[in-house]
Amino acid sequence: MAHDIHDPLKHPEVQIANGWGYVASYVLSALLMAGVLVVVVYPSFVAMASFALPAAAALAVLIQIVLLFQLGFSKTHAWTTISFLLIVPLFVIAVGLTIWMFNSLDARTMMAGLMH
Amino acid sequence: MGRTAGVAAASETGLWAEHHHHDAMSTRTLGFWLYMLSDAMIFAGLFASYAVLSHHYNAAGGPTIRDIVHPFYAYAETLMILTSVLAYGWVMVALKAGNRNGVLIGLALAFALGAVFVGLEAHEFSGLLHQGIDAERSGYLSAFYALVMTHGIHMVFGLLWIATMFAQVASQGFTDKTVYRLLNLKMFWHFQAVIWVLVFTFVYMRGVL
Amino acid sequence: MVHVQGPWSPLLGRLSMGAIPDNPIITGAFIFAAIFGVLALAYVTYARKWVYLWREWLTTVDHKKIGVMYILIGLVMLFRGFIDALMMRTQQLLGDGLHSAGYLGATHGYLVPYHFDQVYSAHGTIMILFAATPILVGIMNIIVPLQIGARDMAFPYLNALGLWLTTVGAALIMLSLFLGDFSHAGWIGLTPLTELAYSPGVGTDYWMWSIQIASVGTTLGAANLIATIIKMRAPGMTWSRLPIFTWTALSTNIIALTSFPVLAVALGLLGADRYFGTHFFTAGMGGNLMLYSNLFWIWGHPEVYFVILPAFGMMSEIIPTFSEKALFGYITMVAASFAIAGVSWAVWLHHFFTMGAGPDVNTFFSIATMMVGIPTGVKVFNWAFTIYRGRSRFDTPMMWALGALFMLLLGGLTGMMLAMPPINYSVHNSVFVVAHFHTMLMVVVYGILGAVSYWFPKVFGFKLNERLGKRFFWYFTAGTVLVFIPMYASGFMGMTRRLDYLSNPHLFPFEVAEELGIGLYLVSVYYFVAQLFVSVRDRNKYPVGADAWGTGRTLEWITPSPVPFYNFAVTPRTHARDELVWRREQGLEHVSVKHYEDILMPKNTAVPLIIGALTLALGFGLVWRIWWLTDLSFAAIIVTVILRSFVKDTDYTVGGKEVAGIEKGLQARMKGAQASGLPSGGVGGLRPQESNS
Repeated sequence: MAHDIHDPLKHPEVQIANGWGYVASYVLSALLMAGVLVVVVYPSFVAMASFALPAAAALAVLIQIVLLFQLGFSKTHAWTTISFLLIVPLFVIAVGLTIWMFNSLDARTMMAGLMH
Repeated sequence: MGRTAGVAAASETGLWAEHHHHDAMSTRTLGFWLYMLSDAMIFAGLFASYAVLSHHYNAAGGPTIRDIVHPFYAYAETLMILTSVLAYGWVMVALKAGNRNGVLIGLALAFALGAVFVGLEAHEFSGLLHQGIDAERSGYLSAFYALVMTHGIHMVFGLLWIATMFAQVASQGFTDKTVYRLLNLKMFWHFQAVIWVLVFTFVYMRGVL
Repeated sequence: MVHVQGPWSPLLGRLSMGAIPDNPIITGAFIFAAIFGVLALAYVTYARKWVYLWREWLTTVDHKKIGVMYILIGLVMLFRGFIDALMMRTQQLLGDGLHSAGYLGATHGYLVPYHFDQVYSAHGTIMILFAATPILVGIMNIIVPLQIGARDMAFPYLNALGLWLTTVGAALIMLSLFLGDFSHAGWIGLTPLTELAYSPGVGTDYWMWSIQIASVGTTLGAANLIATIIKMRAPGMTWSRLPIFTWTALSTNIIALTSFPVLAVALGLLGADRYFGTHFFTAGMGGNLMLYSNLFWIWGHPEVYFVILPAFGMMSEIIPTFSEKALFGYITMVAASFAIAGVSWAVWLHHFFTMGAGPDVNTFFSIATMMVGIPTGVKVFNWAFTIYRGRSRFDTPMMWALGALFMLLLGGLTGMMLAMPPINYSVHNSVFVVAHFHTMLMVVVYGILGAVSYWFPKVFGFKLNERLGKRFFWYFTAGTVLVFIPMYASGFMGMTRRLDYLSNPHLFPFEVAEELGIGLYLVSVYYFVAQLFVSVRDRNKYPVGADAWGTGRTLEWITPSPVPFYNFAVTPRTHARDELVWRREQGLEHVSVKHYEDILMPKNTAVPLIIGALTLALGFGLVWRIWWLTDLSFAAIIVTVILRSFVKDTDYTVGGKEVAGIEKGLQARMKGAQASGLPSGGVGGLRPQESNS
């Protein structure tokens, strides 16, 4: 891999910085979070919440991953992207299976009146 | 790879790789990224705990998230951290151009905005504590505080790191070490924003409903 | 801060004279440890080795030395864990029934339940986290960089830090023997037993902090190994040429990196309950007891695969070498390792089937658990096919590898049984489970012992005595069989685990068999020590060359034995899987380097040791709630880390001429060294399936 080992500033990970990407990420994330705020605070939108919240969060995270972390399959970031892609299912498994397990437990062991 | 081709290719120089250098900087950033992924799993455990302990019966008759959340205040915190991240983006742009002053200004800005975020959160918590709404009140509140404060503690360590980098860049300039540390700090700082997006959405905003 | 039972002072926290146990067994242990410690210190002083110790070992960042120290710690802790086992077996033998005799103030046997509980808690914690894990990490540390043609790990300083953090964890457990007590709640630490209300003493805190601190070391080490394998491979070392042990090291450390953080959460939240009075797992006030089990086992299950995958890798290196045949099914072996790592992440509830999550949830986890058997079976068949039609030799490493294979079959099959909830409900909390997981852990132990005898000549330059090694193996195996096979039977017949007496006197014959088994283990320990003693004594009689066994296949066998600090004088270029076999076939095994170049190496540093010492102070302060000590040491750690980061000059250069001189000396020492009974290099008659270009 051809790179100037004497000047750290020429390293691809430094040179890949993209100011406009950072600005775009900022604006989009702020807007998405404002959207979430609107959905939960104003009663007419509340019905959308169960769909809108996870969707907005996922989208915001994706935008930050792509624009802030600049993950992708370039030679510079191949390994960071691959390792990130391997972690996501583990995160989902840990949280998701836990929720399922405890929902099932509660349904079987909690008195009906206490459930909600 | 046939045997004769192998013999021909395997002259003495073919057996040894001279002048072989490793890309130390990308090794460092990969190593730090791997640590960040392990950090993500800490948050996975904390989110899982919050999910389990955020039923109303975990509140032991005390307040739940609905009673303590201030949505607009939380959004202000969100804007603060996002802006701090943007300031760090400026650090990266300045670094690309080799602009030392730009990097220092960006670090100072990121620090200031991050400190305001931490201050806002501290103010939020002290208000709760004054009302006796502390982590010992119930499992529900324990989980809430654990998740949000773990993020907050990460922010505090990040601030300490930003200050250290400020001193290091000011005194040593752009060396291999200072540059890869700035890259690592970038990943750390941006990661805090990603986690905050999840905390904001699934703890604070869902708590309003 | 939570209010605790018992005295507390600002200066000494909970520490008081009452912390010193007045138990004859512990007094005996203290005397033994004190004598041993004094002798060791006296020897070092007498031989004037303090400077050497400091310069060569305590401040080193060399992965080989760090690995050796990891293994030494593991062996010391293994010995302590074994003593715990001996104590447990004897207690259950003496406590044969409700009306058995009691000694030393106990109702049954010689240990009161509170002490018996501490013994098995210490046994479990030590064996898994402070014996097996450090030895495995140590072996991976030594071998992986050599196998990929690197000079060291990616982060040598971090490597040393991991070592010292693990040492601190071990030190805390050893301290708990003489100051205060240890946890009585099992190595798992189930809640609410570990909550302050039911464990008001310091024992649980010792357990919690020793694991928490050591786990930080393991997590950092995992990032280190993964980055090393991805980034530090020598030219030509493509993924398809990577030695199988390195592949398993990669998959296992991915497990470690992703699962240890969840343990940190489990213990951290428990710590919050015990220190801040929160209610994560308390019985009441909105706590959820099962949440602890959930978080613990999210870590706990991947953890057991973390310990077994390297053992599989070790078997995969030993078996081909002693069959003079390439590993059968390399690609499926690699795929199976990652399949095991992946699936192992989704099975953790099988450790608490009985906690009430319901048939749907139980079924999912049951099926997932059984699925792990498929890649494991692939591995077993691959090993069998490797041996088939090979040229088998049964040196000690091979014996251990084959023993591991049989242990895997037994443990794996009983694991499949346990994976089924109906069976699980019946044998839950019986010693059937204990026999199963010990058999599985025996795969790890056999793998470790095989690997140690296999790679010992590479690290130290001489072989271990074969005759005594074989005796060690056979007595150890006899002990294993006699302790654990009866345990399967008695478990099926209802023998409860973790019980300080035998509730069903009809099962007494099984206890007798198991005690005989432990006796055989004791004999094997004698042979282990004898083997070391004799081998070290005779080390100059039987030096080995680079390829110690004559039939080595991978890159570590082209370095001199013992390996110089820079590993390779010039980074080697790889042309095939099993590079050494390829070089042998091309007649290039003895081609030496003509042109030596300068080498950049990391400097020694005392900082990891200092941080370790400060962490010991921190851990001790946390256990005894000495707040000034915790605050001070924590601040000092942060300051040390920051100050170290300002140091610019962390490497030094070894000149080409100096390297050439060292190499010449090593070649001269190895000249005439014969791998016992075998030609010193090259295998007579090349076989087509040997190389994998």
